Amino acid sequence: MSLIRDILVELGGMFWADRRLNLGLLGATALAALLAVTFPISREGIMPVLLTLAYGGVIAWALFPTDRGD
Amino acid sequence: MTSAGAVFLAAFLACAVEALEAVTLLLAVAAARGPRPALLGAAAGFAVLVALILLLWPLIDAVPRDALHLVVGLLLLLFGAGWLRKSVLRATGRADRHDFDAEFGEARDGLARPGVAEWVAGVAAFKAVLLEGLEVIFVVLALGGTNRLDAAVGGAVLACVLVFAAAFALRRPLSAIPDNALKFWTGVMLTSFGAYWVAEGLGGTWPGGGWALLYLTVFVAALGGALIRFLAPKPAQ
Repeated sequence: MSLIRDILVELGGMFWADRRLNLGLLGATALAALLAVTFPISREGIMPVLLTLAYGGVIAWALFPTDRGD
Repeated sequence: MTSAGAVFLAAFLACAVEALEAVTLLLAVAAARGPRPALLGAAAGFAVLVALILLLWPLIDAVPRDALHLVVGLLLLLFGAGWLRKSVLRATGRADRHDFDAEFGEARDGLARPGVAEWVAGVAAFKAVLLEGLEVIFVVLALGGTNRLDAAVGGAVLACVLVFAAAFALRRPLSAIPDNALKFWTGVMLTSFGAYWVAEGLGGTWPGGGWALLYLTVFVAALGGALIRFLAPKPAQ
């Protein structure tokens, strides 16, 4: 049980330690899914390119320190 | 269609990073308590990892193609972007670099203390292999899950064999290997694969088809390089 707890703590800790990055990436993916469903034509090239740019923006944003220092 | 060479390289880099971390702890266990607990713990860890692969592989085959691309892509993206972020922070001095020698010394001294039983050292070796190996399994299954399992397994096995052979031949942590550069390029490749497969999983079509992976890699590497340059401490005027 201790081992399973350690593994879950490790994985959860990894996710939470980079929460701005991880939640940002998941949010960008959700918006891309919404775009693909709302405007199916965007799947032909536009959505993948916008998704890539959004991921790039999230990665850059997650690197800058916040006022809270995280 | 994804290039087998790119999958092989991504799996090789990712597994080399994880193997470096696992082998440092195994060497510390061996230095503190002899090779027996290190070998037994590592063997038990490998056995659990093999069992997990055998358990998870049939589930992957059962998942519909688009859902598989989406899940695999997200998994690779979260791992890759996390590693990329960490490597940029370390390269710009905003986070401490990985010090394998310090990690080795701390683990060895802790396990060599009087009163620490041999089985505790064995469990430490087991946990090192299992925890780092879990990340390897995620990456290999994710990279190989979209029809390039042979290339992903080949890259992972070669990385593990090379790192373990070098560490056990030298009998000390492989501090000379540029761990942060490895992590940066692993992050670049996994992020590119992740973005590629997430978009495909959402039903998207990439401009340029299979060439998209190439320009995605160039884009992510350029972004990482630009961030390192931008965030690096400025010399005093």
